Amino acid sequence: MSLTPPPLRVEGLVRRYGALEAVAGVSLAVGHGEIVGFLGANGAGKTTTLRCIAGLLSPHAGHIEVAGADLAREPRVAKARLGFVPDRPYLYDRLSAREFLAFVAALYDLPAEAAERRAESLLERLELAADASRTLEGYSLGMRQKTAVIAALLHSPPLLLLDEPLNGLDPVSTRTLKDLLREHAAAGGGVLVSTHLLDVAERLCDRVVILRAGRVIAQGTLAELRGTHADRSLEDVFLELGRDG
Amino acid sequence: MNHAAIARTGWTLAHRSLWSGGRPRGGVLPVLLVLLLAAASTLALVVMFGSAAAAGVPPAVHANLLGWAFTLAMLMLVIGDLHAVVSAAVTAPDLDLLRAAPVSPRDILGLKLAATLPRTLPPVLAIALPAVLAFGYVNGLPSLPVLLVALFGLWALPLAAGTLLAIPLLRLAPAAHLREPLALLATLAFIAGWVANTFWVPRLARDTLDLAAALRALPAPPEGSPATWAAHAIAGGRGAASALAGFAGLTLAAVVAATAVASGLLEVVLSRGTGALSRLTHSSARRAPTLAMAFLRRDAALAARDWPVTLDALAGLALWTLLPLAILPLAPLAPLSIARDMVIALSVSLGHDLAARALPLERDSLAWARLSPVGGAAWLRLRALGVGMAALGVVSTAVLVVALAFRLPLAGVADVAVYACVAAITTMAAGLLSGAAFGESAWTDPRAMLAPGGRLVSAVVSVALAGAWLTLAHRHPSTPVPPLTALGMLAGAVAFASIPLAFAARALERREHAGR
Repeated sequence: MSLTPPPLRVEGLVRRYGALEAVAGVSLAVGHGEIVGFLGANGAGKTTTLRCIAGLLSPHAGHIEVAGADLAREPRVAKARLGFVPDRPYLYDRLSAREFLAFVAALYDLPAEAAERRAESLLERLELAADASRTLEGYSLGMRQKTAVIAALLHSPPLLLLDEPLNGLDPVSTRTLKDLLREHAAAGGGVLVSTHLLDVAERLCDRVVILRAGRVIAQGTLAELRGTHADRSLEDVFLELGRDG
Repeated sequence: MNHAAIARTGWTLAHRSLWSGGRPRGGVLPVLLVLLLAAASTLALVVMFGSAAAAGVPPAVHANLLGWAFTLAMLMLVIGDLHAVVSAAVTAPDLDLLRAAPVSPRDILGLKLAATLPRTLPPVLAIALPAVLAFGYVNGLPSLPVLLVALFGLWALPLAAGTLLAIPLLRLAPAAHLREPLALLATLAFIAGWVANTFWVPRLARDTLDLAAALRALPAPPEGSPATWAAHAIAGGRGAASALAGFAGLTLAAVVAATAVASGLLEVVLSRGTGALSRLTHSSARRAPTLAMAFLRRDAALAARDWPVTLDALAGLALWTLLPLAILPLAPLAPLSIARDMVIALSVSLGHDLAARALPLERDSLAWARLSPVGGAAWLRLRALGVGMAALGVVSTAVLVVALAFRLPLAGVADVAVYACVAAITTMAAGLLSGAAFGESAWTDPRAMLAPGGRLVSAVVSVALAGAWLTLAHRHPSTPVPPLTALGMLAGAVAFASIPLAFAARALERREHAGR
């Protein structure tokens, strides 16, 4: 059993928008080397949960711990230990990808040489190197998504949060991203990825957490969720849980 | 296309922007401002036309004045409408939805031009209508059909011209690149009109006794201008009927031409894509040695590449600095006093045009202030460093220029520099707070980077702070401030500035990013 704290531990997370309780007591954890799929219908509360964990939204109740750092008490330490890819990337359109990544490296206080090497290596792998000196304003959706992924991976955080990261990616880039996530997990990092693509979750994730109306309605490995019916797909399980609601 | 259903949807959207959930919404403020401006314009123009009539100025000269007012308004409207057409007709967020629907390009154009009403109608309601009402109050109102034709033409002609001009421009460059420069051009046109008015009105007031002579000397507006025809039609008398017919005919022809030509070309322009194009950069992408250097490098790149914003800010800075010169004919001041007034007036722009835009300039990427381990307070300090460096350059240049222009002695230069610094420190701190509290991340117009209410608050606070420093400066108009007092003023300004800066840091720390 690892003595180092897990990349993510969330307990009793609550977040409201006015009278609407978007996240109603969510508890989940992501372990070392684990890729966790975060599933749920539209409006289930996935994005709100991820943004609370990333520190972009303040929870109304609950406890978030990122690699041992309490997000409420030590926000800077916790934020230095996570990388976040939002559904709509936060990019400076008038900077080039290289300039943007150099700025992000400065935000995370990365050593200059190492940051540059890491950025170039990721740009090459995601096939952005040739366009990386062009300003981001003309990038396609997929190119913007890839830039955001590189920015999140730049400081090799213990926890990686991704909100619909495959939006706009071509098949080659999708494969590369999945490889990068597996490598990140293999190096001991944790990944929490929200997606609507159940087949991707089925093949990529070690475990899934299913959310409905702001509550976790099921979580576990695929085998655990299938129960006694080993021939059922994740889609079958997801739809069945939806009906039970 | 079901026109009734489309109109109902438009009405619902418009209604909800004004009133929804049992309370007024953000859209109410611009409407109130237009009404206020219309009332103020009507009052001022009634006084002017009334004074002119009392001074024995004949009605023909009144018609000339009306013609010039319409000409100026129309020129400003053409440029403003050019921007409105590009923004509403080509870069509207619902454009893809409309293009995918079985709706003809002509109908799309019609729908989008109808959507420009909130932006294209206010100048007609706040400038042209008050001019007509004031003219009519003194000289008699025109008949209702004439009034309606004139007002419709004053709205439709510039919009048609803007539409006809927009399409060839859009063939040259993508809409995303055109939109901001056009907004800047529209602003500059407005400012040019404002400056002309600012310099002209005090001189008229000074020459009150010669008002009749001054107005009689006013040249007639250009005969071939439709604005002049509209003025003749409203003024009545000989040739009014033919002026009205010419104006109505030209309006109709322009609307038909804009509809026929623009709707045909719209699809061609849209098929080229409206998004921005990448630009190749040559600056170093190496990681900066310090976080402060990284911020400064980023700020420099954003300022250089977001050049419409930079140019707009520079125009604001120059105009505010020159503003005190407008009152010179009315109240001659000592050179030291006018130099102080100029640098204090500059501080209004430093707060409202420069500092207040610093945070919204980052758009959605401001989320990094919360996402990264830097923290909101440090982010604000680093952003303040960037605008502070820019302001230092501006203030140094301004002090140097006024010192040379007014041949100030060394003590006078130091005095002006102290006033420039204290005023800039306070207005810029307040400006940063306005930006943190009211910044709009989805802005498209460089002058609308704050919410409408925020713009008003920012301007009022900057003017009030500058006013306080002006009051202090005018207590000893010709004596340079002693060194100890100067130190006290600087300490006071820094102490004052720490309050809005602390609130701005708090606002940035608490600003949530729920996504769109």
